[in-house]
Amino acid sequence: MRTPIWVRGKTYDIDSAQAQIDAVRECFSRYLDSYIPKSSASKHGLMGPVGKILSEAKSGRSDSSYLKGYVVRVHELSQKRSPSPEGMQALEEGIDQLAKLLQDVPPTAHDLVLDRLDYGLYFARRKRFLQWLEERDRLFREWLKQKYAELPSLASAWGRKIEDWGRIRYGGSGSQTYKTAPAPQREDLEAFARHLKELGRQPVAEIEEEIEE
Amino acid sequence: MIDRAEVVATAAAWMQARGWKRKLAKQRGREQSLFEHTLIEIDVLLQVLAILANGRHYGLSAAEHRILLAAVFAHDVGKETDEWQRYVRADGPYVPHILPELTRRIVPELCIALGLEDCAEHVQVVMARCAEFHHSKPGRSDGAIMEAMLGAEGSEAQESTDRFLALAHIVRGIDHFASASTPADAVEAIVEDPALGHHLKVARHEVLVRGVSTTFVHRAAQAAFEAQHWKPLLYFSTGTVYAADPKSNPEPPGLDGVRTALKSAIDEAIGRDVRQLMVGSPTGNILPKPELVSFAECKDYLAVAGRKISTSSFAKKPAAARRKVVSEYWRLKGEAAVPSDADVEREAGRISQAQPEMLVFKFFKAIVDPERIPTLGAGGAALAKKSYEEVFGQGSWAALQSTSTLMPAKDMVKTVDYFWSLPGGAVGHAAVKTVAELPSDARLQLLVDLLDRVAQSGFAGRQSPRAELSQRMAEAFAGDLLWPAARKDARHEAAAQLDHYSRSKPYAGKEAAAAVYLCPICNAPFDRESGKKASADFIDNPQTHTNRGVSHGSFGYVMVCSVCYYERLLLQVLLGSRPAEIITLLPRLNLGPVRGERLVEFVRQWVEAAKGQMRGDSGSAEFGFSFGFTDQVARNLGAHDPAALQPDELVSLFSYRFTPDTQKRRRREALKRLREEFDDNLDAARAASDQSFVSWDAAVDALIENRVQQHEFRAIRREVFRLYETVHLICQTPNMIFIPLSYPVAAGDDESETSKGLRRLYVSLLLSLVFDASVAIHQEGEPVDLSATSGAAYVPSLPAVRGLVGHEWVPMAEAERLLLRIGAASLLVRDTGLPERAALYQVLSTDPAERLARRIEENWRKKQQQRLLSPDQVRWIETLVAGQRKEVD
Repeated sequence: MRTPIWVRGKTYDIDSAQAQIDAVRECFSRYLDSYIPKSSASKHGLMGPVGKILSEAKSGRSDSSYLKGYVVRVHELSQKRSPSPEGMQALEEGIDQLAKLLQDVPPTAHDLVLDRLDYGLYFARRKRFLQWLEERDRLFREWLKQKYAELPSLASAWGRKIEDWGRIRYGGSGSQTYKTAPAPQREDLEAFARHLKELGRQPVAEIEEEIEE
Repeated sequence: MIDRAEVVATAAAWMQARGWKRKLAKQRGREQSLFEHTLIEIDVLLQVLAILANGRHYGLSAAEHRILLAAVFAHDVGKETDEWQRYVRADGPYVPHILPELTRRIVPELCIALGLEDCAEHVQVVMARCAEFHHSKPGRSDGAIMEAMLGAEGSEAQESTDRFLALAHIVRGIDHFASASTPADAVEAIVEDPALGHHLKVARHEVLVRGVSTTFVHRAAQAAFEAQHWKPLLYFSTGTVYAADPKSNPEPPGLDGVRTALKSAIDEAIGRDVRQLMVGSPTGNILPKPELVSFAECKDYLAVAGRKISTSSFAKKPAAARRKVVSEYWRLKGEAAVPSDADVEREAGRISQAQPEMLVFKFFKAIVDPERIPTLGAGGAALAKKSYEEVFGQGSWAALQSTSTLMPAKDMVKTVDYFWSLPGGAVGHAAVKTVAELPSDARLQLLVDLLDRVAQSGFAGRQSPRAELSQRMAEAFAGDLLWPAARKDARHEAAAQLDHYSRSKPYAGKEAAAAVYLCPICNAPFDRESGKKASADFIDNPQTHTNRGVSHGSFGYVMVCSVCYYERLLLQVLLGSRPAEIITLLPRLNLGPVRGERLVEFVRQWVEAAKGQMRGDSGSAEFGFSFGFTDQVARNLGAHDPAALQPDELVSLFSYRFTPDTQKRRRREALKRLREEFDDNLDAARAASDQSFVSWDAAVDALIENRVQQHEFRAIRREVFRLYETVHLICQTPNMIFIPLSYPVAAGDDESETSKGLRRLYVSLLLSLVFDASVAIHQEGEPVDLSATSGAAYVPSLPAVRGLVGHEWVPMAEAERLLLRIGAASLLVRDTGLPERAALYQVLSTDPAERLARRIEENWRKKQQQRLLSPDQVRWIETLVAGQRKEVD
């Protein structure tokens, strides 16, 4: 008689790995804090070398030494310099934890785990970027208030109808806001950009943003 | 004298502010929030306080009143702690909820909230002790009793009490009573309780939940109990517990008392206008509800039948179809010739004009048929025949009887030609040679008058079927009473059921004298006499109600028991049509009397406000009302707390503004209709409305703003702006409230069933949180077990929705989170660019939900839009993420 094979199906609960996923994401996010993206408009630009790590992991290459070497090279090529010590530490921690995570979860759940990591990180970075934009707009408005004091003075200077301060947004040289602005407004946008530089604010690649009016 | 409603409202406000609506008091079996549980106990206490306070019972002092009230209020305060909440949700270890320190800290606060701030400190200590004692067990509370005894020393008896233990036992008894999950358990809790059993007499009614008829049974039973001086104490969806002073020797009403009250309630319900319901399908059953026939309304029914079909419908048929009918018409008339094209055109025009009259004849034939109207009898039919032949000539009755469903050629020959050939002088129109020469409207009116006169000759001295209907319905529905009820031999019942089950298969879908049946809806065994033929007018796809059609042939109707038949008939009478869906509200576990009345009043105000908006009473036709636009509802809800909404705010949640294009289109339509109605004569419109419009545009403005009360103006306004009431209310008692809807909850006709199911769930969750009730939105006849609700909202029985939610009833603890989740998904649907049909489900099931951010950006990129996610969109995605992840400690 053949030995019977007894099989018991078991569903893997992806939520049990969520804490580990969040930890990896946190490490990569710390690394990206020190990474200056070329563009914030695309996912590729926003995720930087982390996107490459996840892409490699999805292809089954989850050896941490390989991933570290690979991603440092990607970083050097795009940033023309090595990662900062803090960035490097975060990157290494993230890669080590990712490798362990992929060992812990069944291979059938790898795609879902990597998706949660990938899109979760992307969403977190996008949110942070939006907050950064909001903060930049706020600073721009404050700067304008100092310069013009009253909204009618600003509207008169720019030659535009402006209903309230809240609708004023900063736009870099590549943005629609800049391109469609009258000359005095452009001058203010450029002056504010110089002001930001003087303050030592972290530069961010310009994007063409279209704000719903 | 305590104002019960005021005390309950004050207590409710305090508890709501403290967040007790979101805390559970009971989880196992049926759920109850800490808010509901405490409020029910306060409500019950206030209802029985007058009896208990009586000198023949406890003779409670004013101070003891206060002590009881505060003790009941504070008795479960320990359940508000996070530790206990984790325990009750099975997320943490057991922790006790009797926390003396917390209770003693809370009692002074409660006293201030209730206006009892003048209570002395030692009275407040007694209040706290009574509250703490409610969970005591023999042998465990000796210390507390001793402490109370020692603490009582030196207290001023006038201000406090020396009966701490008696009061504590009352608090405990009320807690046990309000925690019961059925009326029978609640009655037992009182009877078995030594503190309450001797001082309160309780009784109950209990029913089998069937549907809208159940609301009438509840009301009838309550009326019968109240007539015997019982007071409702606790409402359940399946029954009510009543209380009375045992010293007054109250007796519960018998079955006859309930039946009499039920007949009276049904008489009132079916006394409404049902004329539009009486005429059925021109190609099917023309008289689908013979039980509702009132002989006095016969002329109205005939007039409605004449409006069921247009005078131009036949003329629009293809030429080949018209030729076929005309050829058949000539053949039946005995014409041997083949009609030419000109003949076909002429005859088709006549037949088309005659079609409304054919239907009038058809309805007449049905209403004088003694098989359909048994009270008419053979005698009445003979009188009708005699009278008919006196008008239409010898042999005309037999010709009428030879007709069946609508067949234009045959109906023309067998009925209309008899009528059209009558001399004008014979029917009061001497100006025309024959009736055929009369204008079509006048001819139709003449036919209605003639046939009504003929029918009335047969009806004379006989009772209308409707007069007997309420009695038959009352007897049928009274059978749903489980208590008080006549005792039945369970073995005999089971044997009958088994016998019917074994013999009924061959009779499925057949009506035979020797047949026995099992009702496919409620499983009751019945025979031919006590069953009814239910066609598609009552039940969708009758053959799907039993799998017996598979083995015994298909059928177009199914036999149902008379109770189920009357249940559907009653619903149609109440609404005037079949509802698309029904919103059902039930107590989550039970309800006290004040809260029960408030629920009924709250729902009534909301439905009336919604109807007012649908009718455009506010003078604006810009706004519509829909349950299906969940994105609008979520947007309107914003950060508001659903539990704090008032009825008018709830109406505005479901309101939406028509698009400018729709408003313009409707305005144009209104202008066109007004000009048509008044023959393009503005003076005629001014005269009719008694207003001085300067132009047609001004007339349209007045019409839109509801400033003209003239009949035609109002009719045009109603039709052009679709100002129809699509929400109804069937509410008799707090036990069970039905809100039938004329249209299903959906954002569009082409939505998938899953999307519609999710929208139904969203509305159910919202209503559940607003009304503190269990809510189910279901189709008529959908098998939802309303007697076993166990949560906030019923999850539609669709695999995708059930898979997503993971429950049949959404637990209270998850209700708000799921509401926010579906709301957020609804708001994101449009930006994702997913196919509308199933977008809502796809958004909700996207894992990880953060992927939606990318999806939205990709969608904009495809549309050449360079935009960024808005802060709102980020927040909605975060809501979905939070809802998707399980809480892992």
